Amino acid sequence: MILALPFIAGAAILAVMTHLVSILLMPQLTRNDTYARFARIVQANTTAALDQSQIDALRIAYSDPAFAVAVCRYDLSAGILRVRAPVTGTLLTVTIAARGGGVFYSLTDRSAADEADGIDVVIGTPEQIAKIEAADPDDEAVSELRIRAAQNEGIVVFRVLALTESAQEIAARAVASCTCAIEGLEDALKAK
Amino acid sequence: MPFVFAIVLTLAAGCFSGLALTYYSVTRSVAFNAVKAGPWTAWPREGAPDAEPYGAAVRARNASVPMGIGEGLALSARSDDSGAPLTAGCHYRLSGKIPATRFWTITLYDSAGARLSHPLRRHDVTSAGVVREMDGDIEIHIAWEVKPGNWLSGPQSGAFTIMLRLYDTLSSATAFALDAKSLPSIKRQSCA
Repeated sequence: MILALPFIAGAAILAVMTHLVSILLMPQLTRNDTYARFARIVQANTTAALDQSQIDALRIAYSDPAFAVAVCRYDLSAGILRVRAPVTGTLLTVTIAARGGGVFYSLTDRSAADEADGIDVVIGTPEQIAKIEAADPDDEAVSELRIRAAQNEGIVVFRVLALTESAQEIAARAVASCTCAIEGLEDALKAK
Repeated sequence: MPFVFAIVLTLAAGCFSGLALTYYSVTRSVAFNAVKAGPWTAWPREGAPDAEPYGAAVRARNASVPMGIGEGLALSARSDDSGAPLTAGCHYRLSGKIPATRFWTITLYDSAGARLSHPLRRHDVTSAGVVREMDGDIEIHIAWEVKPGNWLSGPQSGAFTIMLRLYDTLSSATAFALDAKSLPSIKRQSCA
């Protein structure tokens, strides 16, 4: 019995280590994460509106059916991502999540600097954002919101609330006019 | 030879129990930093960049995009006020106050986070779609059979989850001290 103790202790230590390593690695190792599921229906750096049957088919857990949803799957290796969403009076939320990581930025239509312009967000790597900031004119305020992404790959989810069934069409139209597009860094700097 | 056998057995037992523990924690949605108030549980840091590894592992597996802290707060209930799990075949009464928020939605899901399937498709209600009491409180009946007043159709079989989402709320910042009195109660009325 005494002889078995070191083995039992060894098994317990190994169990704890296996558990911790597998939990920490799961986001990286999951091949069927949100990014991968969206990859089946939307090309990189474009936006696609999802209807409820697509959300069900993708088996995305705990989605709120009161919302019209559009997604953008991005890859910053070719440039910065410009995200635009209209302000329509009803609730619009923008959630930005890194691949395999969590949500690193989220905002609602209330965060828009200018209602007519809507939401104007630029996502870039810290280096890309630093280059853009360095080229900013000193005497003008910047109206776009700049977000630093730690990873090149991620997703942007646009959601527009339809409070009643009759508002669903308006919400679907609002979400369909949300866009994301890659801008080459040189072009973005030249435009200034 | 018995020594080698014991080593192999130790390794196998350690790895197996470690992985079993991982499976248990991600399928049961074990996550830390939960805030509890009555039957409701919230994970205010779920949509934050520094979300803890258990939450990240669960999300990677569910492919869910949590609400960011800039969007609002999601509260879930898997049991009624007495602590008994929410199950099909029972009639529940959800009543009381909803914390101050721009919009809210209440949605029912099965235990894995998928939408329920009732022929009448009444699984969610929004702040605009609910009929209020004279004092502004809400009362919603949850049952498979149709009930008078605000009614949501529960599942035909199995356990279910109620999600209360507060959009653009001030509560997300103060969720670390949720008060059960400011949230609706869930009381079991009768069981078939």
